[in-house]
Amino acid sequence: MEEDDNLIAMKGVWKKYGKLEVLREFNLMASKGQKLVILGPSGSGKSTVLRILMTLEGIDSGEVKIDGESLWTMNQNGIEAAADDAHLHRIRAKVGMVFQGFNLFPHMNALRNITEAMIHVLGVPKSEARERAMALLDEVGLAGRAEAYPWQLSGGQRQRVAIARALALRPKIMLFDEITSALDPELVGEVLNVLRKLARETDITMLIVTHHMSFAKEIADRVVFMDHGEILEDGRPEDVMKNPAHERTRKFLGTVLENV
Amino acid sequence: MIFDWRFALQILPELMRALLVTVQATLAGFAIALVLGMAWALLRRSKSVTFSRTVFWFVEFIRSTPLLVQVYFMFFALPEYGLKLSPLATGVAALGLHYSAYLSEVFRAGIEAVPRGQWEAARALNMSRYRTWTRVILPQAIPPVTPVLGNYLIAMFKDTPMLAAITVMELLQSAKLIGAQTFRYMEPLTLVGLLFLLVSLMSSFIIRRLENKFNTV
Ligand SMILES: Nc1ncnc2c1ncn2[C@@H]1O[C@H](COP(=O)(O)OP(=O)(O)OP(=O)(O)O)[C@@H](O)[C@H]1O
Ligand SMILES: [Mg+2]
Repeated sequence: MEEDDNLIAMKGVWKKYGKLEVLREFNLMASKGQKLVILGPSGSGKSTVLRILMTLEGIDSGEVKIDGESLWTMNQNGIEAAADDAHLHRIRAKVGMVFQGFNLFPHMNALRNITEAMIHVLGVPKSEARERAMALLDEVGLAGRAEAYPWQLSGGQRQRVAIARALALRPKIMLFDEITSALDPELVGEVLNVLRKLARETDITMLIVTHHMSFAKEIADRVVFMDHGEILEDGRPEDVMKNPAHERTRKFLGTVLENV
Repeated sequence: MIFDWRFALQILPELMRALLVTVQATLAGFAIALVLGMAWALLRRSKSVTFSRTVFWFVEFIRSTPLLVQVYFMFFALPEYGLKLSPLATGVAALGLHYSAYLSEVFRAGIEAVPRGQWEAARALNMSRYRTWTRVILPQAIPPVTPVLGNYLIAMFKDTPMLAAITVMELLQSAKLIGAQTFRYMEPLTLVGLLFLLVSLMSSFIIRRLENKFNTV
């Protein structure tokens, strides 16, 4: 069963916003532990792919499976039915996401941001949650900032708290949507370093949308290039970046490389 | 006619009792308005379009009909449906219902001002709908609108004389009664004005303090 190796399986997915077809017959598989970088010009549908996997967006047709289970449908006494809250809740537990705009809870300090879902979603006892959160803050280099509120932190620090917050729920899959795009250039490094460490030390399946080409080459064991809702290139970073099969990819790589 | 200070002092205790009733009616009415207002705001977000639209029109209806009409209506119509409340309870209910329509708009604005990213973060963290509301959305939606809520509290307080229409012994009614018994209206009515002014000023002051407090966060 080849399918069972795939932690993520999107098959023939269509996604429309009104008349705009964002994804057309979209297919994407990712196996356990894979570090997958998604490249593509603005509007190509990169965020949409991640948002669908996080159940922030529905799909118009096709199939999305996470860890072998269909996301939007479930088996009810042998009959296929629309997924209910409990089903979504169970599958969503396997996925975490970090956003471009951090989306930290502004009324909670860094520690509470991290422990909130641990305690109330996973049911981890308070003291243990606190301990684990402290360890995570240490991991992302923010050991001393547990009591700080988001507005007291720099963008890079906020984003590292957001990463710790997602990791706290121990997802199998982590989605990163241009998590350094809102940062001042000098703060990008500290956030990318956390991803490097994650990639090195964990077997979490990572889907990373980024415009940092050298970082992509370094962290990815697979790179996908999307344009207009389709995957044009899919392969090892050096192949996709050095010898792309499509002219459009070449053009895109040309513009980003110039811009960096 | 000269303002008789001694007479004013003499009727002050009675007016103070009426003030107490007025304040109590305001607070009770406001509590009802808060609960109902939040309920309307949440119900209006229901996924069922028919349902949310019904709530919308109901709220719109309450908001666009005069409070005095609603007070009379509840006073005379409710007993016909077997619901017999004291004049004070009827007045409090009418105030609460009327102002819930305004407060629901305030809550709605507060809720809509919470960025979409907060909802998305809550979902990405797999939080339940209930947790998302109570821990993420409402704690961000309510503090910014508390000054507005405070202004409605003062407005409601100033609307309590409407309850005189259904014989509630609030400030105005009490002043009128004193006037009818003593044929002196200037002193009681002046005192009523002063008492309203005093309480309103005090409330405004407290609200300013709240405003400053929330602005610093
Ligand atoms: N909620 C929405 N309603 C309507 N159109 C949308 C919505 N979200 C995205 N789109 C459109 O769908 C297309 C794909 O958007 P998406 O955000 O997935 O692109 P992207 O590859 O992430 O681009 P970027 O690099 O700019 O982030 C774009 O044309 C965008 O305008
Ligand atoms: Mg995007």
